[in-house]
Amino acid sequence: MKQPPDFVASSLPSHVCRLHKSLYGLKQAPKAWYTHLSDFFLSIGFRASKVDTSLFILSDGTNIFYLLVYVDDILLTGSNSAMLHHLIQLLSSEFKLRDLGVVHYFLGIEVQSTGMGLMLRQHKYILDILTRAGMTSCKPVDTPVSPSKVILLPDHSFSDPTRFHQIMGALQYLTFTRPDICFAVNRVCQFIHAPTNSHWAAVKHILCYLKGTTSYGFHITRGSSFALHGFTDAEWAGSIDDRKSTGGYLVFFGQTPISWKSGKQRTVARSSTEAEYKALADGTAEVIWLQYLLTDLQVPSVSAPTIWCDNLGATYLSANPIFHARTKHVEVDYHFVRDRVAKKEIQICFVPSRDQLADVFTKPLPVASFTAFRFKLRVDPPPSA
Amino acid sequence: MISSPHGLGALSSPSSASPTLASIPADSVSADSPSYVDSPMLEVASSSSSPAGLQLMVDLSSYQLPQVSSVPPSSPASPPARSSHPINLRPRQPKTANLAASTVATSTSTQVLHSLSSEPFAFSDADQYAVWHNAMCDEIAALRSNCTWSLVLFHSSMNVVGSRWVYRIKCRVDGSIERYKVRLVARGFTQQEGIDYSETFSPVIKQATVRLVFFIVVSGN
Repeated sequence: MKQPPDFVASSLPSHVCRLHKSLYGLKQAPKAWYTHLSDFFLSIGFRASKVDTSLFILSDGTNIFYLLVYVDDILLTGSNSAMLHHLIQLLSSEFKLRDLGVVHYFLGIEVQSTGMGLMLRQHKYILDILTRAGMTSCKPVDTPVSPSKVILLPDHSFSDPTRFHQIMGALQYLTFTRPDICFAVNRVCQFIHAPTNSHWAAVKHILCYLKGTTSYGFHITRGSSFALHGFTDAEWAGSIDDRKSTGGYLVFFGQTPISWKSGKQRTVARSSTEAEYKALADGTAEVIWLQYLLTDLQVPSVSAPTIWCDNLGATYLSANPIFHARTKHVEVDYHFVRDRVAKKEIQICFVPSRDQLADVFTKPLPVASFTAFRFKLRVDPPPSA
Repeated sequence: MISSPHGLGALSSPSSASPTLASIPADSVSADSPSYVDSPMLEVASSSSSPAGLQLMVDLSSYQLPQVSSVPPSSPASPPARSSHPINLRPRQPKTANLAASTVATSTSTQVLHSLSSEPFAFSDADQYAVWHNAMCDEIAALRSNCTWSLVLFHSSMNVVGSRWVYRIKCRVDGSIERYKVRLVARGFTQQEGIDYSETFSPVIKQATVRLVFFIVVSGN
């Protein structure tokens, strides 16, 4: 590296710096930091999770501690407060750190304690996005996507793509605590490479929806049930441009949604069953990953997870090797799911469409059903309000 | 192109302060490496004391650190450390905050006030102010105590990346200023994969993991 301006060694002005340690800005800096951090955690008895490299677990039989790392934000929690204190002291002996006490702000997310558990919300973050977009005084709407509007018409390209990208990036991070806008955000993100005015209108629709729900947060309530169950759904050939289907899943742990996704499927499905089956395979993969994670966290799983699917054809396919002629081309997904079912690692059941919670991740919904789904996604205003 | 008042002040000063400016060979002045110019300038300057603020040279082994604390932050006769910066003035669009400063701040007192509430973009802007200068000295001292680098002779096979200073004002929750934070960053965008580095990775936790851990904490107390 060149010598920093104005701090050049007087005797060796034409020398350059050979770096022994990483500086912020180097490509390898984050990895060097992670290696340093994880080596230290491992040396004090933590072990790294196999399925999420940023999770470290320390267990001594009776007590268990979890440590989450987000670059330089660390969240430490455990079942014994005395030992927790000891661990914080150990950490501060190695790193210069500030103990922020009980968590109420993590990764820009406000963590509030309610009577029933915790509420995660990004209230200030939403206000910042609205300010940045110049939408602080817009008129609130009830849903993030208008069911009647089509946004794919040929249109003039949007004048300020950078602004579009910035707002979309911010909205994507917002889905951390707002599963209700997940589908809307993903739908607009599909056009991020060449946004048009109608896409910007769709973004503004999302912002108008957020304007009316800024104080809403994601509620995590104390649960009695410790079972995983998931919902998968697909909207067959939902994309007018290329006739690809939109798939989504939602995985609950007890009564709390843990993981969700909405996205356009990579390949074109020739039947709705095929599209549903692909969504089922994605949901199955996520449930299996969460099972590994729960094993790492040493939370005993009580029974095989259930995945609810609203397509009878897909549920039959997962159980029996029938219809093979029509599903030859989805062989990988087909075997992947059926293997797991045969080993009784998961079970797949039928659920009527009106109870299909993943519906909200695959299509625009009218106000009444959207509000009902949002309630089940545990996105609600704070209890006192 | 609007240049900041600090830059203008520095431009006018060398005529009175240091005739040595003219003696710098033109070929050594490159826009990308003003640092090479600074060092000889400093040595010359330290021998001839400037009239307004006395320039104390502190030798931290191999580094020349001009101590600005005794100098009024924006005295008309700029310290020689600054006198080299006319060369340094690159046509760069300043941040809006600095833009506002250049139009609003006319007297020296408002400049000082402004410096305490906005973040400078360029080194030449920041070095005018004692708080930023001291912060940079502290940062260099910290880097040195960590043995972050050693000086080696340049070889043409090396891909030398640049560096720049990043200035941030850290505020408390009530808006009052906590500290002036300065960080030296490498300009890693000229690095090439496979030559300068092999693997990259960033420890980013998955959202589902965070939610799951929160749920377990809530349920199991």
